[in-house]
Amino acid sequence: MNLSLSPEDADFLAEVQQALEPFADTRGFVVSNSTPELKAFYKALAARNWLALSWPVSAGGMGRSPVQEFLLWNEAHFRNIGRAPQGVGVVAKTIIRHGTEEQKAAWLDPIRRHDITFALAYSEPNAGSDLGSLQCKAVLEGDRYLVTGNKCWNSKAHTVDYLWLLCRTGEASSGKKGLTLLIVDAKAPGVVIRPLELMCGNMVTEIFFDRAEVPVTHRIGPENGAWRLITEALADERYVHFTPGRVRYDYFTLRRWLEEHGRLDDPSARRRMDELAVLVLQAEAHVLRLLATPGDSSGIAASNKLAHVNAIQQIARAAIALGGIEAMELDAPTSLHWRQTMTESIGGGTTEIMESIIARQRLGLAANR
Amino acid sequence: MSLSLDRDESVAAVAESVGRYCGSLAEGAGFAEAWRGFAELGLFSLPELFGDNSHAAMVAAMETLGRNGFYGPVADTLTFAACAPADLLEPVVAGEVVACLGRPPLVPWPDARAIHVTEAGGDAALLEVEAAEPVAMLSGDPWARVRASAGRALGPFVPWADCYDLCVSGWLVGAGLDLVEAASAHASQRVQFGKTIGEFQAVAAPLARAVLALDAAKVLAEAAAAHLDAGDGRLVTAARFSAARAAEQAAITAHQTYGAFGVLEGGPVYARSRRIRQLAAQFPQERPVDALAALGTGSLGIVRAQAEMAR
Repeated sequence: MNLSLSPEDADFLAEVQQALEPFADTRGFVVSNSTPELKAFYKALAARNWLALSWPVSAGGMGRSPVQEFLLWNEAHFRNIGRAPQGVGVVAKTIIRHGTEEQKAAWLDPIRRHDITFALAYSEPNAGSDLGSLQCKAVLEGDRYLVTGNKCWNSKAHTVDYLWLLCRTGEASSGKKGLTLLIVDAKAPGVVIRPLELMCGNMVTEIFFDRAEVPVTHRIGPENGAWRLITEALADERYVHFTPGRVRYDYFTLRRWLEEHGRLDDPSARRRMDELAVLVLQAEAHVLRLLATPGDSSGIAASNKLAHVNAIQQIARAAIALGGIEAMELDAPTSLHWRQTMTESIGGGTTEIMESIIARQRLGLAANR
Repeated sequence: MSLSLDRDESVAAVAESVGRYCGSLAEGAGFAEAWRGFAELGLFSLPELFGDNSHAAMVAAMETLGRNGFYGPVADTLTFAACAPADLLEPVVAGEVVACLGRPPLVPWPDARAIHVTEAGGDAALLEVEAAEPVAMLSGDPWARVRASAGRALGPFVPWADCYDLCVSGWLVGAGLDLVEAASAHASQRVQFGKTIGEFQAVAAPLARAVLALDAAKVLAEAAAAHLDAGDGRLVTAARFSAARAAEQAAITAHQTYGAFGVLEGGPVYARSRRIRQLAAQFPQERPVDALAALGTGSLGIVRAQAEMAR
């Protein structure tokens, strides 16, 4: 068992801490990613090439380990700055693995420089957890696809340059085997994006495609072959997006708030906070399992997400329970966390789906989805 | 060297040999015979053999015992072997007597030849038992209501409590994992409404949540042991709290998953669930988690603590 950071990782962490200090409390978890502060943060990371930290050197990245990528984003979350942009993770890593040389040349540089941004466009009104049943259709006509259909619940799509679109190119009955990934210009004719405000003030969107044209060169991977690409990318993203740094931030924010409002003098409140601290450590334990397990680890990735969400929701609910009426002020961190964390057990894979993955992969149960 | 949760080779060897010995015990083997066998295996010599790195080995041994359903005051005896003065160790390490921690009036293992240790004024102290009346307890283990007083002082109690908490954490994690895995195997076989009950989300989800808590508790117990071996006991209380809650959740989930089988006196769950439940209440009880000490102030706790010590 080795729980020490290597000297290289420890040095990198110190460098990250210094670099991120000016961006503390950018509040990227609860604001649109179009804010100038968050963009400045991403640009600052880009200037160090840290948006491409774990990409291969041959792809313009720094070839660093998953541990260093985790340390970077864990620190960003601990400082309440924000999550990694979608483009540098799911999108870029899929292009690196499955894109053509021309596609790598066209997309990777502007992504790592944060000159262009992406939103995932997977879910639909009738296909949330069950992406295999999605209906948004792309038909190949000559050297372009014509896309028609609806997407929904897509985070921040109204602020980005491109959509990472999962659509059906196979027969309606083709399920997971008829899906294709396309990069769609978010401002192209035939694309209409409407924001939907969440209860925490953050935005998701609904997207309408009406014969929107997409060049065939914007298809990533084989036609009808997207399922494997998106599932391997989802496992990638979980140690970057669901970190114990965020859980710690929420915990210490609540602790400070309770202290400031004189509510930590109550022994039962102190005991509850002590018990919540164990959930913070449990979230860290699961991310360590993920980092220490190379290869296919989607079961552990599901555990990590579930432990993370459980911890932040328990902290948020404790805030409401311990904080009294002052905790209900709409802009108080207590109220904001309660509202924001409700969304975390939906996005990135619902809790029910995560539990089913654990039941199948960790316990060998034939649990239905 | 990158982050790793794998046991060190020597620690893994301890777990393997304890597991092999448990497997070799004949059905219905007596406690005394098993206990002597563990002593011959070197179980109670682990503190001496591993020196400053003994907590990781003890946690691994205890997890294996929990998985194999072995009960008895192993956590107490290992704690005694790790913390007691040298002049008291020989019969304990040889497996001739058991050592127990207890606080009168109720103490475990009232065997006349058992050594009892209690806590008095912050110190560990030998307990001198004057009279004992057997009492049946939830755990099913032999206990007694005693008249006793504290005798020879054995030094500060904190190291005893730390060691005991880690040993108990290991046992709880092992017992909990075995219960959940066995209940999952049952859920994969038992057919109701035309399909295995594990296919129902209402059955699968609680099992998933139980193993989620146990997997974290296992990391915490092993990490807390590694830190304590390096001189830092800040994670110990959190590790025990985590293991106790996870094991309790596992026991309740297992009872429910097995249905009526799960509540039989001689069924697959009760023997372990009754001990899991009592461990939370018996001396030394869980100590409050010191959240700020356990978490530290940085962005990581489990990793950070070790990195700090390495400097």
